[in-house]
Amino acid sequence: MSATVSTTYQSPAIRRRKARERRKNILLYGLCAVVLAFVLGPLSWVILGSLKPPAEIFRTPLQFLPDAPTLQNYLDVMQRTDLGRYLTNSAIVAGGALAITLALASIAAYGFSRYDFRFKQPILVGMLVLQLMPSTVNVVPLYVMMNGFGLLNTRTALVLLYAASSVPFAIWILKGFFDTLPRSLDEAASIDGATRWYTFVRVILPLSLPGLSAAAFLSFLASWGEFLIPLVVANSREIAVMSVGIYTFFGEETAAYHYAFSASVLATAPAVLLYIFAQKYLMSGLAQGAEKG
Amino acid sequence: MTTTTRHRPTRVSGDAPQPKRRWTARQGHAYFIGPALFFVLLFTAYPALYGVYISFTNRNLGYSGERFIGFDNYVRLFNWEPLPTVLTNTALFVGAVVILQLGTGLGIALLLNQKFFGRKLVRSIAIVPWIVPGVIIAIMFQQIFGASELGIANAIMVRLGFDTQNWLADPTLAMTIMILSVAWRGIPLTIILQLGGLQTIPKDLYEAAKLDGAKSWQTLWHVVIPSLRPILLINAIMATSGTLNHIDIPLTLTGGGPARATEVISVSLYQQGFELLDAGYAASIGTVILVLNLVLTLVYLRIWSERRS
Repeated sequence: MSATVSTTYQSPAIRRRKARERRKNILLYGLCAVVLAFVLGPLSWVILGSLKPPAEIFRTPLQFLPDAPTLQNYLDVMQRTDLGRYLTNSAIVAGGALAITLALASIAAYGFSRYDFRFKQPILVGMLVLQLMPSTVNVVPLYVMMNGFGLLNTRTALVLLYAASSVPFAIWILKGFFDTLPRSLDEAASIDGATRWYTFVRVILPLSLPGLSAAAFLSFLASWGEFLIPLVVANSREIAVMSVGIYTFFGEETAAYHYAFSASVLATAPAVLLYIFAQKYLMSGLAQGAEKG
Repeated sequence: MTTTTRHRPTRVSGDAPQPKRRWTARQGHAYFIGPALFFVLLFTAYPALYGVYISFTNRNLGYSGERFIGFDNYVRLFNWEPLPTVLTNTALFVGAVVILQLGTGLGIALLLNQKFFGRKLVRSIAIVPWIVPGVIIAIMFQQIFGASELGIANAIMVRLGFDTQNWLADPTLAMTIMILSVAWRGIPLTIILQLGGLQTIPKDLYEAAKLDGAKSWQTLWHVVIPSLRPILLINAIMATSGTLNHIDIPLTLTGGGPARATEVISVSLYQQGFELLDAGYAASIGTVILVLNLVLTLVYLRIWSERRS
């Protein structure tokens, strides 16, 4: 940038500043390399392991890179274990919870954004406190409740419980987003004779895709890998979601490295793919929610 | 909310004696917030209270029926022989994870707040551990720290000329690995929160510090950290409660072993309630966890308000 301004001669001061900037850059990139190694090191061990044929996995001395990379482990784990069903169950449960979360939370967030009423702030904060209510504390009573409802070992139970734990933060994110939409929109719709409900569904929601995406992603993420609740409430082989399936039925044979590696990659991939898509909305959606809070 | 209307200047002309009401209504909000509120209360607040009730009964998941037994479960719990071990483990685990998570996460956030080419990519990758399911993280570290030479950790040890270790069978090593893997997963939360916090610091503050001749570490200590204090506090509360209640990694990685060396209180609750089926007793552990959560949050808030005044 400064190259266009400076001539061939550089004063000692400029040269010193440039040297300092170079040192700073080396330090920055060096630290970044450490961070990346810290994050990607363990992950790459699993990904590379999933590409190794069993003979290579069980060979000493161990090699980091596969000699003859293959996708055979992926085929095997899908065909010979129940992983496919666990993943399907997880997708159904996370999807159902996401749908309920978005429906309930967006309606509530509109109420919080557009109405003034007594105890509004305490209710909002109270919701967040309930959000922090840990599943360890609630797991025994939830088991007893679900038993009473006749919902043990059903996906419905998981959908309901996951939705309940996602609704509070979804309300915060969506309220933050709705607050940024000008109220003149609502006024205009009202002058045209639209009801509140109509305004919300036809005017506000279509404009809220970024907020809805951020809330949807966080809700999905919270449900996708959750472990304790399904371990207790829905642990039959038929209903088991990914986390329970992998814990219960892969834990039995810890030596099945080749399955463990490829199953781990398959179980993480959906979340990572969604993250790549949602990232754009995530930061802005979260930032707006946080600023209001 | 309503205060803005009060300060709005009224028009002098007679046709608009009242300031125009903002587009907010007072009636009808119940239809919007009611369903969500009911739903959340039913599945979070009600169970918490119900759990306290169960802790005063002898409910067992192996047979039906229950009887009110007062504080018996709590008496049993406080006389439970491994309790001191479990509480020490929990304190060590939570303390170490929170410190690691906040310290490292804040450091990385400061690094990623600098302007350099490729920053966005590094940011995206640094967040990834947060989206890996806990069970998968446990399995990943189980494989890395496998007992035989098939684990990469031992392979490296051998290559460096050391003996192989039976990592997860050694009490100290197992606890260390558990702490590191939970922190590995939690650091991104700190990065996200603190990067958000760093955005809110006005540029003037940095410039003022620079004009005063502050070195960069002085700016960090006297400008950046104090400005981040509120969000650091929220972060500390979230990390503490998150770690205290965390169970995915402890249960999958070590299951509390070897010989209770990594048994934290959430693991005790699970084992008592769902392996030994003693629901009333597990509920009393749950109530203790709930109280611990509340006390720790109050302590944080207390520290915060003291520092501020």
